[in-house]
Amino acid sequence: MTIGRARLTGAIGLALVALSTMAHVGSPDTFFVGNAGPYPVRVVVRLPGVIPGRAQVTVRITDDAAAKAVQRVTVHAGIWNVGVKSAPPPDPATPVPGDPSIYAAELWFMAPTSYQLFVNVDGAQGAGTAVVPVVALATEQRGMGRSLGAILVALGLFLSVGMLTIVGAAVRESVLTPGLEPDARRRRKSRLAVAGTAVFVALALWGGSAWWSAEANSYRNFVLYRPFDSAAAVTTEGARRVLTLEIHDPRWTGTPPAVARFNALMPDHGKLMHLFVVREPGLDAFAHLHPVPRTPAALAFEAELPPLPAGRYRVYGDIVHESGYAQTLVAHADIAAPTAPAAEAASSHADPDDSWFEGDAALDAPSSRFTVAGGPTIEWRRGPASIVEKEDQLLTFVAQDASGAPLSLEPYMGMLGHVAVMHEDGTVFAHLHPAGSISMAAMQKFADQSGGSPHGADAADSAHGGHVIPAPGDLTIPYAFPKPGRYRIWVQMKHDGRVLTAAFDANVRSR
Amino acid sequence: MATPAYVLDARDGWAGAISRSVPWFLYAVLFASASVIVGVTWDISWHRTIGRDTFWTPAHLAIYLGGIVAGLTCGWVALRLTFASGAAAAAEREATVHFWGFRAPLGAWVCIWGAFAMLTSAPFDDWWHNSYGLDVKILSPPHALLAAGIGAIQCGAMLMAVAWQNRSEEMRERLGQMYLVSAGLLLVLLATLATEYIQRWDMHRSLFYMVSAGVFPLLLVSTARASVTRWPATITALVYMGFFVVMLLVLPLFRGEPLLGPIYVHVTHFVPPDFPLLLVVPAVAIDLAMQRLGRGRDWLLAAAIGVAFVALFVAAQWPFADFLMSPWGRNALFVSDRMDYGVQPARQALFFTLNEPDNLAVGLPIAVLLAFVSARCGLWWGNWMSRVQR
Repeated sequence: MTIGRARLTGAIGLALVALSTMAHVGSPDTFFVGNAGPYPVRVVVRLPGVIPGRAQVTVRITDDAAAKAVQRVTVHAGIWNVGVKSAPPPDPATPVPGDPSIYAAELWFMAPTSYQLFVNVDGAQGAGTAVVPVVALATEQRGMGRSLGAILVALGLFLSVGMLTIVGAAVRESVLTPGLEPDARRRRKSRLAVAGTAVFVALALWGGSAWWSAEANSYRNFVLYRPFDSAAAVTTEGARRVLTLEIHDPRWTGTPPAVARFNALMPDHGKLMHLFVVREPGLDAFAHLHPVPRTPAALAFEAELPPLPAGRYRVYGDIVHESGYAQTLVAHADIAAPTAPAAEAASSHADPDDSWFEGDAALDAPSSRFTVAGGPTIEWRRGPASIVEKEDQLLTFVAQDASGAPLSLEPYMGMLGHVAVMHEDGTVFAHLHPAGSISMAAMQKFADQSGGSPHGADAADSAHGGHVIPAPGDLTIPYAFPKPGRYRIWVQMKHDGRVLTAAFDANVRSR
Repeated sequence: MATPAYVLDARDGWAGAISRSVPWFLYAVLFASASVIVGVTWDISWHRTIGRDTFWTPAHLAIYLGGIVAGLTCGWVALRLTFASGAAAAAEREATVHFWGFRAPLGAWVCIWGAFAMLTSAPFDDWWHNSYGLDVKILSPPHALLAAGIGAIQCGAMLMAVAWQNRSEEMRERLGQMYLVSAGLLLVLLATLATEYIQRWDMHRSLFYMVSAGVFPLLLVSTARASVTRWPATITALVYMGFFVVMLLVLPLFRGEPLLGPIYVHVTHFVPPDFPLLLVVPAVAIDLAMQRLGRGRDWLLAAAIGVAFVALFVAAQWPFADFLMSPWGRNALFVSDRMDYGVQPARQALFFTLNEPDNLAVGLPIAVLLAFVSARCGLWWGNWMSRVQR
């Protein structure tokens, strides 16, 4: 069952610049669809896992005629608050052999913060730039492989014992006249020196180990991505159930500094948080809510719950800072059964764009179709090939009415549609839209900073603000599933003032 | 300085059996010592200028070259002296120490140890980059291991030179010079490692003098005690200063621009190292004190050096710091106006402003105490080096 709560008070054209958040639970790579001047591009930024590190950037010119006109593609990135002024010279992206429409480059990200990525395309049709917000996240803390560990231990042992041997030889023999043999006293002194050096080596190894641990802790605490610690709880006030998401994190004190990446929150289409709740383990109940901060300090957010069934829910809260740094808060909440019928539960306290869903998903198939209550269908045109982890692809969804005709879509919070992707174990969650995984708010802000439109400095259709509208009723989303397993995909589109939500299952296999 | 009697005794009857020219492998390890420290200085400039690097930058290659030359040279020496036959090899074998059944001069083993430490640091550093990110800080555990390896190669070069100096008669002067050059190159490494604590803007603060007093007398005094020349500490300090002056004049001749962001400073050529510390001034005092007090009064000598080092270093460096911060210091020789591409605007004033003096009434006496301890340890170390024969 899908129930849209939006009340369209006026015509909201797709020309409005949509502001949305990106989510990155287990899905740190950036996917972007837009224009670099006259060239339609799809950009994928695969982060290195550790920062500082080298990201792999892929730029695909998605129009054949435009691709033939392209002569040169370059990329460079600047930190959010300085932008192109502080960016190094652009790096050339080289054509990928076998497909002249794809260009690849390696880009260095030096700090775990928000960046502006500039994709410059030059060719017969002129020059253009797309500004892509990228949050350079360090998401991995790698262990040491057994073989490398064994090699280093062996070399370390050799160095330690070698040092003892050298010190022993130095005391025993180094000052002896050539040809003389060391006497017993000198041998005894040598053994004492070796023992003393052994203590020194042990202390050095202990100190080195402590230093290593301190560096690892520093990386874990200050570099490795860790969303704000938060906790969710549900309280009941009469027939109303209110979910509260509180942030308990020393990095978020209520008085955010202006120049840090964790600065003030940026309104995202008028909403400071997009909250998703999913019932576990069946993933059979889902809601997309928009809580409001309890106080201006934004230490706690509250949302009135729709009539979701009882159960244990995962809670994902998307927020974007003014730096462009987007993060997803993660928590759990136990929700009791509603005490009033659904219709009565609806109240004026809820956000008009809140929506929710309960039910099973369409099974994974080359073309799976989900029928929404009331007759419309949403079809996922997956194609005959199975989905493989980490492979860049377009997820295409088509909305049709009961007769099979394309459904005319309205903007849902400024977008043609929203897609939420979640791995069944909850370790991957992504909030996507036709412009990709990027934060539209950050894109707008960075475009303003660089004096261009959200599409780039010379976007021909800047009025559409990053939206890609392939055909009425079609929704196309760029994405790559980060790991194998079973995923649930919720697709949300709006038609006739009502949010349609469809659910699909996807089985992603390993490479 | 007179040659100690026991050094003469050690040479008795042995030196005649071997070649009377400086062996090629002493030049090789001295070259290795110079190559690694040139590479280190170049690499630091590379990171301040360009930022982005690979395994194969010229600066890295200079470091690898030093490690390879030292390791292969000393490995060859060890194999030859262990297995070669003939009178010359047998005579040279007499002046070696044992290591697991192999024979080589002590300095050669130290060089080999350094080469293995550098070798070990390579996969360790690669793993470190993959686990904690590419280099942001100079000092990390794998870099510390690399620094230990580099230091060992430089110490090994010094020990090989001093051992040959101690047992040679005809070549003492030349070997003594090589020994002082190797000591000067080691002094460059020590100053580089201490960089973070001896910055230009801290030259009026206690910590600057405490760190300097703790680090530099140890090497200057130990080198001087084992030298056969009259002004060893002075020459060592001049080698250190000459090295940096040459590097700061040469590096900016090459073009380079930042390839990493954020870029806050417009850089077009390699950023040079800072003008070296005026260590030559206290080094002259060290030489004079050692000439006057001689051997046998080492506690008194250490105390005298402790006081003299701090007094003269403060007298020289304090006003020189004012000079470096003045417009007179902003030129191709004193390079006070050169800064890394990534220095944020809020920090750029630091390069032209001396931090206010802190509690020098406490800090300077502590510096004297540290200089005394450092000098006394240097004398112990130097006494041992002056007796090294193998």
